[in-house]
Amino acid sequence: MSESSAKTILVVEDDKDISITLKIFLEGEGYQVLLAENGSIALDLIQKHGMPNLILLDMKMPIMNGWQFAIEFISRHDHNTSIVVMTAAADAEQRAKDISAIGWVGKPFALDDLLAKVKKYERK
Amino acid sequence: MRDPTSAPTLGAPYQSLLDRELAKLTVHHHLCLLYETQEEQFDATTPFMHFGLERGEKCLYVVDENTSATVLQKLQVKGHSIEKALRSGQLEVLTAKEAHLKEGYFKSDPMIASLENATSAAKGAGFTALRATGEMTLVLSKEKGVERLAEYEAKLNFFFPHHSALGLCQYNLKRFSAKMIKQIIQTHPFVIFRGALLNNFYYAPPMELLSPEPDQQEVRRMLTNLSDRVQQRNTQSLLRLSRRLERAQTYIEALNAARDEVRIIIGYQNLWAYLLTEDKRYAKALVAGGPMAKTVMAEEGVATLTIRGDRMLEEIAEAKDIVVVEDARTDERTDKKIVARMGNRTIVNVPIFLMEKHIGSIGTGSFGDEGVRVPTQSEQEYLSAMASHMAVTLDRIHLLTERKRAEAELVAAKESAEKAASLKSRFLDIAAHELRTPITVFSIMLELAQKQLKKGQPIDISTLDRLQWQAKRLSHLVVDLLDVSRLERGVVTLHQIRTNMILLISACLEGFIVQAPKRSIIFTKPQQPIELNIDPVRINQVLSNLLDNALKYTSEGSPIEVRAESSPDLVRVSVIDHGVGIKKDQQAELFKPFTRGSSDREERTSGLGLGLFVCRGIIELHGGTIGVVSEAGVGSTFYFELPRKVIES
Repeated sequence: MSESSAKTILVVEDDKDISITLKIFLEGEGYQVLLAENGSIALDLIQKHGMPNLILLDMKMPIMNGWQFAIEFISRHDHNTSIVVMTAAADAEQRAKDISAIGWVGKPFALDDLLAKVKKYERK
Repeated sequence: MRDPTSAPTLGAPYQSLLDRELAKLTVHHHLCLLYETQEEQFDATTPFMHFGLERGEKCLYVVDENTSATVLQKLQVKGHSIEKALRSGQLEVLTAKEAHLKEGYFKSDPMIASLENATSAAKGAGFTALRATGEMTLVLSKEKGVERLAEYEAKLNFFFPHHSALGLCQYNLKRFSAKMIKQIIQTHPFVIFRGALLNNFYYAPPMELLSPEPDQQEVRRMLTNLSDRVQQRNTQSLLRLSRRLERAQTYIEALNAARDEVRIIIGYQNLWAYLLTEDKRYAKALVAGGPMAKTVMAEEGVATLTIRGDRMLEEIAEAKDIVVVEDARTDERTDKKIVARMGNRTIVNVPIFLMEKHIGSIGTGSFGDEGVRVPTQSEQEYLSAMASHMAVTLDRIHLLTERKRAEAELVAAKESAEKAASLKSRFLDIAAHELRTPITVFSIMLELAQKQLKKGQPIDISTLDRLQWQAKRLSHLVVDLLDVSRLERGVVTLHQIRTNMILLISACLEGFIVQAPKRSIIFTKPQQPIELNIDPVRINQVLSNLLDNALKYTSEGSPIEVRAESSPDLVRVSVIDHGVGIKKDQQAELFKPFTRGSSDREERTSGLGLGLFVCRGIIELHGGTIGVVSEAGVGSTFYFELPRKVIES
C-alpha cells in the first residue's frame, strides 16, 4: 500500500494518550494519521499536507478549541471534508450540530465503533 | 327606666353628627340654636326632645313661631311614638301664654322662677330632669324689657348648673338684631349652628357679664379663650395625625406625618425618633429627611446607634420626661462635632411610652438659621400628646418591619438553597463530563492492547505507564471532589508542623520538572530558610495546583517563576506566568467552586474548576489569603500569604 493511496485522518485532540492510541489503531487499519494537539496546529497541518479525508475533532483544547477551529476551517476551506466530533459532553449530538459536523462520537467510545463512523463519513 | 347618664341608643333616623353630639348632652347644659330655616330648627329640636323622652325626662317645648300642631307633627318621627308621652304628661308643647310667660314686660327673675317651678314639678312627678326648649321669638312680642334678654340668658348660666334641668334656646337669626345675637352667643356655653354643636369660645361667664368691671373680666376671658383656641388647634392637629398614622406602613410615613404637624403647630422643620432596644444598649434612629438624614442615615432613614458613650442618647434612654437642650452649641451634653455637622440649635426629645413601657423618644428642634427656639409649655404638652399617638404606630410598624424582614430572610434562604442545589447538580454534570476523558483513555488503550495481543503483537511498556498515569489523574479528581465536599461541610482538619517552606517548594518543583522537562521553571528564594507552622501536605497541594494551572494555561516556551518572600508577619509564595491573563471581573470568580473564568476559558481545558476553590479553603484554614493579580496579555500572578506564627530561628 503506497503512502499516496492511503486515506488521511487528522486527529485534533489535546490528550496525548487518546491521540497516540488512535494513531496506532487507525494506522493498523491502513490510514495515514496526522496529530494536532489544538485547532491552531491542525490548521497548519492542513496548510502543509493538504485536505485530509476526515477530521476527528475534540472540542475542549487549549490555545484553539474545537469551536474556534471549526469556524476558522469553514471560513478558509470548502466544506467538503467531514468533521466528526469527539466529546465528553452530555449533549454530544448538539455540539456536533453547533459546528455543522457530519457526525459525533461520545466519550468514552469503543475503537470498533469509532472505526465504523470513520468508514461511514470519510471522504472517498 | 334607663340609666339617665347613659347616652340613648341611636336608631334611625338619628345618625347625623349633630344627632350624635345631642345624644351625649346631659343635664345642666345651656345651649342655643341659631337657625335660619325651619328645617335647621327641627333638625336640632326633634332629636333633642326625643333623647330626653328616652331618658325619662320631662320635656317641655314652648312654641311661638310655629304652632303646637306643627311641632307635634315634627316630633312624630317614624319609630318614635309620642302618644304615650303626651298622655302621661312627660311631653308638653305649650304656647308662651299657656306657659304663663305672656306678660307685657320682660323680666328675667320671674321667668327663671317659673323654670325653677317647672323643674321641681317635673322631679315631683317622677321625671329625672326637666328638658326645656323655647322659640325665643316669644320675647319679641313684649312691650318693654327686651334689651334685658342678655341678662336673663346670663342668669340661666347660674341656674342650670345647680338644677336637674337643661335648656335649648332657639333663636331665629332672621328675627333678632345682630347686637342681640352677639349677646346671645356670649351667654351660651354651647351653640348649635348649621348642623354642628360647637364648644363656644366666645362664651362669657355670667360673673363677667354681670360684673361691675366687665372689661377686666373680658380681658381675662379673651386670654383664656386664646389658650382654648390653641388647645383646639392642637387637638385638630392630633386628629389629623392619628388619621395619617393609622394608614402609615413605614417608619418614614409615620415620621413624615408627625413632622408635617410639628411644622404647622410649632414651626420646627425636622423630626426624628429613637427606638430603644430591650436592653437599652442600642437605639434605632429614624429620620424623616432634613440635615440628620443626610448625616447619619445608612439606608432608608434607619440607622442603629450605640447608646453607651453618647451622653445625649444615654439621657434619652433614661429620661421619663421631655428633655430640652436650649442651645446644642453650648450644652455640655451634646457632641460638638455632630452638632457642627448637622447645625442643631434647640433639641427637644420627648419620651414615648407604650403601655407604660419606655420604648424610645421623638426628637425635634431648630437648626442653623432658625436659631434657638425653646418650646413653650403648651408646645411641650402638644409634643407629649403627639408622642403617645406615635407609640402605637411605631410599635405596629416595628412588628410589621420585623415580619417583612423574617419573610425576606426566608425567601433568601430558599433562593440560596435553590442556588446550592443547582450548583450541586451542575457539579455532578461537570464531574461526569470530566471523568469521561480518563475513562476513554482507559477504555481505548485496553481495547487496543487486546487487539494487539490477539494479533500476537507485543504491548509496549509505555502503554501500561500511561494507564497508570491516567489512574492517578482519576484519583486526583476524586480527591478534589472529596475535598470540596469536606471543605463545604467544614470538616477538613490541618496537621500543622514546623516546615521549611523553601524545601517544600523545591521538592514540589522537582516533581514538575520531571513531569514537564521542556518547561522552564525558575525559583526565586531568599537566602535564609523560611520556617513556619503549616500542614505541608496541604500547602504542597495548593502549590501544585497553582503550578499545574500555570503550565496548563501557557504555551511551552513560556517560563514560569515561583517566588518565595518573607516578612516578619507573612510568608508570600507567588506563581508568575506570562500567559493570556484573566479579566478583572473574572478574577474573583476563580476562587468559587465550579467556575473557571469565562466560558471560553472553561471550554479550553479539562478540569473540574475545583482546584482554586480547594486552594482557597486550605489557605484560609491556615489563616492566610489567596489571590491573583493579572493583566490581559501580560500574564497572571497567583499568590498565597500565610501568617508567620513561628519566627525562624
